[in-house]
Amino acid sequence: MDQDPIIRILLADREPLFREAIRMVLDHEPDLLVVAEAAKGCGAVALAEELLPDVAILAADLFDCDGGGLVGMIGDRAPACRILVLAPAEDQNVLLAALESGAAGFVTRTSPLNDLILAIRAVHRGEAMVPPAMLGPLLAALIRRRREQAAVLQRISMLTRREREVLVLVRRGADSRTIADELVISPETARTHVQNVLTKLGVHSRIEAAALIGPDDLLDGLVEMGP
Amino acid sequence: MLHDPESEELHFVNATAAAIWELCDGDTEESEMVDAICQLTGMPHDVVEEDVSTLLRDLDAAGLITWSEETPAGAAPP
Repeated sequence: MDQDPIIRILLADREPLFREAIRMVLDHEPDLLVVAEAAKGCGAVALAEELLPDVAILAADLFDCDGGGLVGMIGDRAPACRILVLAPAEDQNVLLAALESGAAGFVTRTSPLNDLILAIRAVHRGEAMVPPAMLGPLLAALIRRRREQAAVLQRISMLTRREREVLVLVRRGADSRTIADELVISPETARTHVQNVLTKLGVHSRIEAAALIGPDDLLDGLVEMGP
Repeated sequence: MLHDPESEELHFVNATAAAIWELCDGDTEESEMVDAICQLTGMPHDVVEEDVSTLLRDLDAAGLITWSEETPAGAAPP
């Protein structure tokens, strides 16, 4: 057989007793092996990079160690590692944040142990794993998010190419002087462009405009999107 | 488990069917359901499209949703 039948697991949780208990259960399964434990997010990132586990089980409360980017950091350093987030309860916001950061699955501490085992195998197979009761609200949230992004793109499409260039710079925190330098225009012209952008987007400040665009992924291709 | 108050029937459906039924609010379009499931699962669009379409037909046949011209995804009966 070409494929290694053992699923190698990184387990990251603050509580040693919890980690030890989970490890004992998982190591009892013939196809599962905990290869490393971490008590902190930073440690989990380093171990993921070093050991390249198949699946990482990350406690949701470790996310605070780096502002919520833990899932993404592990995804960057161990791209093949499938990430399963272990949360205290069924929290829609935590679930959405985890999935949008690149997690493949979500299990709560209130779930039976067997659910965790099934979830490890499922995410390793490439499936997405979400508690059944959270699936409907999650899909609804994804649809809402898509509608919001479509509405933002609709507003952005009203901007001229130059105004979109200005908007990208505003999103990156540039002031009028920097915008002027970047686009080789006068500061007064830059300010006029910024004002036009704010008016067309229906916002009152640069901060609002930047927040409207949201994460950097919406910036990709922004300048090229229209006429 | 879905309960039809008119017929007093109980319908046992899986988690995905229940989630799709929840989205049948008279406002959400079938294509939006498909896109969201593709985003979540990474499954091919044509596969999800066919599955969702079949599921909606099954829910319709069971009397668990109704269709209207203005609401492509239908709505749960009152």
